[in-house]
Amino acid sequence: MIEITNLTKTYAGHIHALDDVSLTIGSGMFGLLGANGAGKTTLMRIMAGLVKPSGGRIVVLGHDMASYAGQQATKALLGYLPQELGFYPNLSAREFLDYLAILKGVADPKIRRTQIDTLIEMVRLTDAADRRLKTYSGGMKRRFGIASALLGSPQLLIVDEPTVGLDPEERIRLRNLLADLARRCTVILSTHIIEDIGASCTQLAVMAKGRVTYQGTPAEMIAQARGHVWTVTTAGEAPLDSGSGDVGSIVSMRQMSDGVQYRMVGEHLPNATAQAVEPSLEDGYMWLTRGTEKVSSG
Amino acid sequence: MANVLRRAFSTPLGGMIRYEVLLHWRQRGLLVVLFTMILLGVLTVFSLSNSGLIQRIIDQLSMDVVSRSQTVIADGQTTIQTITQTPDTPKNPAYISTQAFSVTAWPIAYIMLLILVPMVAADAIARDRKYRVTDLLDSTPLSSALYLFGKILGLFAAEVGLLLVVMILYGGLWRVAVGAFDIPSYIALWLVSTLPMLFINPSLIVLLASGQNGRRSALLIGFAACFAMFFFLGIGLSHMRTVGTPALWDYVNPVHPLVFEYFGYAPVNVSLQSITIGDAWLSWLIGAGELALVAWAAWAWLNRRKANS
Repeated sequence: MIEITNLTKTYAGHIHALDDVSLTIGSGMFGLLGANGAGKTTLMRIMAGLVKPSGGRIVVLGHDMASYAGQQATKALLGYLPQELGFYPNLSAREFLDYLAILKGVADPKIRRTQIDTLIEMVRLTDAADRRLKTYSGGMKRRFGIASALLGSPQLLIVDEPTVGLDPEERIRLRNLLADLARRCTVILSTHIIEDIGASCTQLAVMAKGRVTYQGTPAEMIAQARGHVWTVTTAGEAPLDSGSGDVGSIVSMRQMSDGVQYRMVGEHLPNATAQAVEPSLEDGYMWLTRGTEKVSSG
Repeated sequence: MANVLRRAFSTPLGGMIRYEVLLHWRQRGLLVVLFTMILLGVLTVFSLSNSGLIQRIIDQLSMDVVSRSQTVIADGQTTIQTITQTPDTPKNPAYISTQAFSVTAWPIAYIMLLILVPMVAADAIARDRKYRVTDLLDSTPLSSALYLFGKILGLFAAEVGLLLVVMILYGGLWRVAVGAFDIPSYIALWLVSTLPMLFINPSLIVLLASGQNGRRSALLIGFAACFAMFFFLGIGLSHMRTVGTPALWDYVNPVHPLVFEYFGYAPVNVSLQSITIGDAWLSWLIGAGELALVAWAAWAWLNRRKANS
């Protein structure tokens, strides 16, 4: 359980990375969604004890992160996969996992060896475990990162954009692995890929410009957009304003045999030919954020 | 014993030491130092032996009555005095051979280690930032103090291996080129003179470079440190040879010229024989104090950096 109350973080140069963030995160898989620069990584780094907040309070698994003792206690229960995964290129996966396991407090060599063997098998790196990490592909490095985050059987797993750079099959496999882990521990997944959230998260929060703009279930986020999602087919040009002054945001475009089909999210019907459709999670997100691509009238 | 070691290396500090040794040796830095020392050893011992210098020094050290010159500066005038000294006890030839090593091959090896190893040490912490491992390490319960301590001890453990190879190599070369020598005093020479230097000086560089974000700037600090050490050694040596007795600066000088003079020059220069082994140890003690001070500053800076990040 994580309780975040009025959390703020301001970097040098008056950069407000987090602005009065309040969240409650329970067990299971929690998704953190938002554009680049929304504050997701900063929030995750604060939860992992890597960054001190400028204000507010955060309690992770019963430990107040304001105190050094609280931070150290949390770190002993935490697994963290950063957005930019680092590793020593001249160590093998097994060696680096052993090193991290020791630092995480897994003192017994036999338990450590068993854990590492299990994790290496779980992420399908058995054949490459004794090869140096510099020889690993991007997908292998990500899998190694997951294994490193799971050392010490953490109660809280924080994964920051874990599927970046993975091919579709790897992404699905990793998502399924995280969903499976969420049965045993709390998983906080940060991503800007909506399918990752929809496939496995029971709760999610949307962040924009350092603030939480939504917290709830994926189903609730979809429900918010119901009645505001349409498809419009045109000869090719973007749909024009029918008089409402705001045709909404284009979510996607698809080439059809009879023209270009636009999927749109907006307050009003874009034009007379538009058809209402059942919203997806992506539509719900677009409805919330209202606007990576507004189409102006005329 | 194996169980004890296994348990020791399973603690966070023990684990850091173990893997820092592995990391240092798998990077090319220490290997380059080792090959340089091997080359230097071969060149030094055989060229000095062939030139006859080593034999002359052995003959000089073996003489019952020893005649040496001393430079004296008084009333603005420089004079050279001849001093004679009679040893209290007859000298063991093997021990004389070790003394000859101490004043010929050892000083060159010492200076090279003093200069080269800090260049390897400089990026011990910056390396973690370069490979983006810092976040992973920070997400564990490892404290800043333990992190710094682990870095320093890990580097030192790696250097002990280097020193062991250098000791054996130079001993072997000396045995072939010159002859038998007294092994216990030979080992004591390296342990008392070089081992503390390998702990204190590279550790200072690790700590001084710990604040650098990039490897390049850390290595620049390493280079600057090498030049500084050369400079400080030069100042220290010229001061000692001019004055003959240690002053306060000689004790606090970060390259410990008293140690160098005691082992490397005093055996053949009676003017420097006011320097005792106690001076050498005091110099090391002060050096350890300087290291502790810099370590505290580096730890405080690391914590402040984390708090402001």
